[in-house]
Amino acid sequence: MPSSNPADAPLKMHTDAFVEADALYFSCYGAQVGILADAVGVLPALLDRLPPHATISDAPVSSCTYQLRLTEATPDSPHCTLSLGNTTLVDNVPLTEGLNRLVSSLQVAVSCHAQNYLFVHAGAVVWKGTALLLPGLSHAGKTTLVKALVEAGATYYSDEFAVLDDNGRVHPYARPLAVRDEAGQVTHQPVETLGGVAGTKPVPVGWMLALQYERGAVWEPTPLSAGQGALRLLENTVMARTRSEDALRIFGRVMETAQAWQGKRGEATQTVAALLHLLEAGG
Amino acid sequence: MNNPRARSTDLLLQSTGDDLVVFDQQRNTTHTLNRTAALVFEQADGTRSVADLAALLQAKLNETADEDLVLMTLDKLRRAHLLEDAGPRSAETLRASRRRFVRKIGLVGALTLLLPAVETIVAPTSAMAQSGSICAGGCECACGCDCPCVFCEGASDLSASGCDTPCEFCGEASVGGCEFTVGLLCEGNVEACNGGL
Repeated sequence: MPSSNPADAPLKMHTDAFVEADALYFSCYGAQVGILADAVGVLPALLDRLPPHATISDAPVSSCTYQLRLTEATPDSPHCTLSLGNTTLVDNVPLTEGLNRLVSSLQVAVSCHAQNYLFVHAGAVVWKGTALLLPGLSHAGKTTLVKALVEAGATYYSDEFAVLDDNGRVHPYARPLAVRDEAGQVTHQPVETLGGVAGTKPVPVGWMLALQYERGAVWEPTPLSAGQGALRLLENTVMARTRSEDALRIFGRVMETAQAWQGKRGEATQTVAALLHLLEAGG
Repeated sequence: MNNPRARSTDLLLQSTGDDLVVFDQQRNTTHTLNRTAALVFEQADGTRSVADLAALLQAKLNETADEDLVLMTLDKLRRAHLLEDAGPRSAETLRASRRRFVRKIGLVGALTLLLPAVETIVAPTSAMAQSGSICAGGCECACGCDCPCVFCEGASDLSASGCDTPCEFCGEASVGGCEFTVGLLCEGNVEACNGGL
């Protein structure tokens, strides 16, 4: 894999048969993922864009294998088709777009194929040694709130996935924060550029807040019972159906130590002040 | 009335605090039962009558518990498909039980904690739980595994206002507010769904 610039990749025309010319295998939280390309020079561009905590593997073992096929011979505008198994994810799109799609899909693949860990869509930070989870799907404002918490001194764990082990502890998934501007454009900001630090060790969960952004909302979170807290986590769990038994057991352990709240929130800065007050008051 | 019997197959159970979390593998739904609902669910094994269950609630929770409370709880469990016997009581009978019990305990104060609560969600598919992959007509699964949309189960025609599948629990069309929407927008009979509250 000599080049890291996808535009430098030697290109070739699409043929029906996929001929592997390069391969990249990695593991992440027990998920083993492979990416095959039909040209050399493309995959090195992915090396610094793999999911956080990914480890490159020498062995060609994967539970999930992508195929990246270059489809156009125009050097100024390389295109590609990306598939996973029998499913075509993107067909004949600009290579940069295809790689972006692949990077996004790799995170999903890891969340689905992780072994011994459960991925929950949630922001995660640590405050004074205890984790705070903020479950929510995309556009729920997880990153905005996590960013504000990090700027207030919390240790960064993730703006996307709370990675839980069998004891209900949360592990870091410290990808660059996907910060969305008012126009909806996303930039990826390493936590260090915000003056924050990423956590490295698993920690128990102390708080779980299911918050929904609403412009001008008044901060009035209501406490949830342990079972209701588990439900809020389950409805944001990636493999909730296929790993339901694991999820119930793990969430049971999470809720042994965590206090759960839900409610509406307004702007992140005001929310963080109120939220930290809640945490300092012991819930 | 036969002795009530809770379902025992295709269910995963997890005690969580005072609650019982129940995952229904047949329906991919998850329920949180508060203490009253959990006790009735655990003890309704077909050998105990409603009176037996009421006595048990009196012993374990509060002496105010009575058969009306048990009947209300059984109705909630039945609507969540957690009882073997499927036949629902009429809405009027249900309202009567509820009225009598609420009159007995009042609407405020600690005794309201005796009221049974069953909260239900549909466990998300992997597609639904992924950022940016909630079905909005396209039903695209971000991981490429082609999972069906949890709302329309693959019909791929979910509009911005939601799919119009009737509520799974009440099976009727209504005007919103059903506590058992579980992802399927309830367009109907709020009273039947809410037990007349």
